[in-house]
Amino acid sequence: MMKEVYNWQIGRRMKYPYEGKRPKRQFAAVFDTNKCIACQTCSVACKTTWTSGRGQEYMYWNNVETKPYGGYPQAWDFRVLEMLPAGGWKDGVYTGKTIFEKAEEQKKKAEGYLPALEEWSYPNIGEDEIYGTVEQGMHIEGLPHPVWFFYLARICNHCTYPGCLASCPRQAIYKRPEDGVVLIDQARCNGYKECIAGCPYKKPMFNATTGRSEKCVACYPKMEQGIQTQCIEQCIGKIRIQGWISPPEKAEEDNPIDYLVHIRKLALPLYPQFGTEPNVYYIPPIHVPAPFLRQMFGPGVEEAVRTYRESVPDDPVLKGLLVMFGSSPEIISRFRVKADVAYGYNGKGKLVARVPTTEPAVVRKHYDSRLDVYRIDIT
Amino acid sequence: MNRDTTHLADGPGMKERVNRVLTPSSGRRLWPGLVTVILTLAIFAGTAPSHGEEGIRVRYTSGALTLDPDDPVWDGVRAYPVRLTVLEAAGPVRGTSVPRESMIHLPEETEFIFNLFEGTPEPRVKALHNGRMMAIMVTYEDGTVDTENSPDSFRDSLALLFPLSLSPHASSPLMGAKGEPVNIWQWRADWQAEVQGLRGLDVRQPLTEGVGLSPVDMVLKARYPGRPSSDATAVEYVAEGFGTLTRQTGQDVRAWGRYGDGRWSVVFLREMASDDPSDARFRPGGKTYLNIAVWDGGRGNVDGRKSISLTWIPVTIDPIPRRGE
Repeated sequence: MMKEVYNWQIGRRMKYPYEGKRPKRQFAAVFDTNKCIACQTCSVACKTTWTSGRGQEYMYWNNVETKPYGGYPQAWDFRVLEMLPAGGWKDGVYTGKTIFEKAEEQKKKAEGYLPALEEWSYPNIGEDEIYGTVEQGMHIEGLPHPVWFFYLARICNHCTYPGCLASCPRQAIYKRPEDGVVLIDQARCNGYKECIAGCPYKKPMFNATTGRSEKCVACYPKMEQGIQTQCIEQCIGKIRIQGWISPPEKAEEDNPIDYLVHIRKLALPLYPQFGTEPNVYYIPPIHVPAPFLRQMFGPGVEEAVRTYRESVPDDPVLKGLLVMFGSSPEIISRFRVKADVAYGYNGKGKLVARVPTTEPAVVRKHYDSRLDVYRIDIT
Repeated sequence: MNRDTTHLADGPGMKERVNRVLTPSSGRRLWPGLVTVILTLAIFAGTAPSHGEEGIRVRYTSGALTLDPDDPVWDGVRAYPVRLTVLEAAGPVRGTSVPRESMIHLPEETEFIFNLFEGTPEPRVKALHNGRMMAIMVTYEDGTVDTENSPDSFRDSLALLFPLSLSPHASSPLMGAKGEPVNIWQWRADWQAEVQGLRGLDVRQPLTEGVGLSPVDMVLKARYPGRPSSDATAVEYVAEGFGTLTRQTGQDVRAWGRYGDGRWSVVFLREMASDDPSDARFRPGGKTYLNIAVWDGGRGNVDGRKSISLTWIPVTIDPIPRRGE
C-alpha cells in the first residue's frame, strides 16, 4: 500500500511505496551543462573503475548523451514521458502524475519499461545531431539558438524516492542512511530486472554473467574518504561539483549545493515530474529554447537561465562558486567568497580549494624588441 | 529504509482484506468481463489439498538414481498430473496480460492476481527413491526453449517447493509464511545452457576476451557468483513468503533438464536425509507436500510472474521393503 511522502521538487505530497525517511545527509552533485564538451572522460573514468568486467561491456554507469536525439538507452526519457499523462505545473506544483501515482492505478509500484538490448548498444547515438536545420548562409545571433543541441552527462541520481528501490520485490535495493547512496545488494539481488524497468533514468543495468543487476555506487569508497566520485574528480571541463544537499527548509548559505539549488535556484533536477526527487542537479544550457528545457528541468528553468546569463557576471559569490567546480579532488562541504577569491573547505573544515574569480593576467607587448620577435600569445 | 522482509501472509486485517475482496459488493466494482480472481495468501494457509486423495507416490527402487530423464528406471513409473494457475504477480512493474482497464478496478488491497483464463502447462510428476536418494521428474509443455537471461530476455525455469515442517500445518503453498519456512529447489535453463557451453547470448552480446579485466570484476564474480557452483544448474532456497527468497549456504540439490517434442523433462535429485535445518526432510514411509512453479521465459515470466500449483500436493514416500518382500 502506498504511503504519502513530500517531494519538494514537485512542490507537493505524493504516493510512494515506502515511508519517506530522509538520510542523515544526502549525496548530491551539480553539473553545469554549459561547460560540458562531451569528451567522455567521465564515462571512461567510471568504466575503467567499475565496469570493465565480463557482462559489463555494455554498461556505462556514467554516460554523456547529446540532447535532443541522444539517449542511453535510446529515447529513455521520451519513453517514460509518454507513459505519464500530460500534466503541467501550476505555481511550482506539478499537477500531473508521477511514475508512482501512474503505477498505482494498475497496482504496480513504479511505471516503467524494460529497454531492449539493442537500445543499450549505441551509447553515443545522436551525438552532435542538431535540432532544426541550418539554412544556407545562416548566422546565429542571440539566445536561445534556433538550431541547437547540448550534452547531458548522466549518472545515477541517488534519488530520495528511488524508482528502482520501489520496484524491487526482494528489497535488495537500499538507500544508505549515512549518505543517501542507493545500492543494489548483490547478495540479495536475484536478477529479476524489475529495478531496470522501475528506474525512469535507466541507471540499473543487468549483468548477464552474474545474473544480477548493478548500478552506479556513487564511488562510495572514495566518498567515505571525503573524495569526489571518479566521474566528478576526473572531469576535465570542470563542469561538476559534489556535495551534500539539505532539504529546502534547512538550506545553508555556505553549502555549495544548497546555494546553487535552493538559494539561487540555478541548478535544477532532471525530470522532476517523474517524482523520484533525483539528487543530481543541472545548470541548464542557456542556448536551448525554453519549452524543451521546461520539460526536462521543470518550471524554474527560465529563471535559472536568466540568473546564469544576467546575474553571474556581476555576482561575486556565484561567480566564485562556479569557478570552484573541479578545483579540488575533495568534497567541498563549505565555501565562502572574499575579495574575488573563492575558498572551499572539506568536511573537517580544512581549506582544500582556493580559486581567484579572475585569473591574474599579464599582457605582454606584441613585439619583443629584445628578441626581435612578434608574439602571437600575449596573455 | 526498513530492511526487514515484508510478510504478506501476516499482519492485522488479513481476514478483513479477504472478506472485502470477496464480498459481492466489492465484486460489483469489478469491470464486467474481468478475467482475474483476486486472492490473498490467508485463504490458502492450511487448506486441504485438491490434487486427488493420494497425491504423488514416491516409489521405491533398488537401483541407482540419475539425473537422466531418459533413464530406463523411469519406465513404467506412474506420472501424476498437476494443475497450474497463472500468477500475474505481486506488485508487478512491467505489467501483466490483464487489461489496464481491469487493473484500475481492482481493490487497493489486492496482493496477488491470478489469471484463470490464461493457459498454463500441465506438468506430470514422477518420483522415485532408493532409500538414500530421491528423484523427482517433472515433464511439461513449453513451446519455446528459452535459455538466455539477458538485459531484455528471460529464461525457462522450474521450481519445487516443500514445507520444512508439517506441524501444525504445511505453511503456505505460496512461498511459505513468516516463521513457517519452505525449501525451494529451482532448476534454470540458462545455467544449464552455460554448463553445456551453449551460451546463446554471445551472439547478441559478446563477452570481452581476457584482456583489460579489472580486479573489480574478479572480486564481484568471486563474491557473488551467478551460479552456486561452476557446474550448478539448480539453486536451493529457503523462503518465508514473497520477497524473502534466500539462497542456502549449503547447496544439496542437483537438476538436469532435457527438451524434446515441445516439452521440458527436468529431474531433481537430492539425498533424502539432510543435516541442514533449512532443507526439507524425506524418509522412507513418510509423507510431505510439494508445490510446483513454472516460468516460461518466452512469455516474460520471472519473479512473481509464473504458473503455480495453488495448493499443496500430498507426497507419500514408499517404505523400503523388508528383505523377502
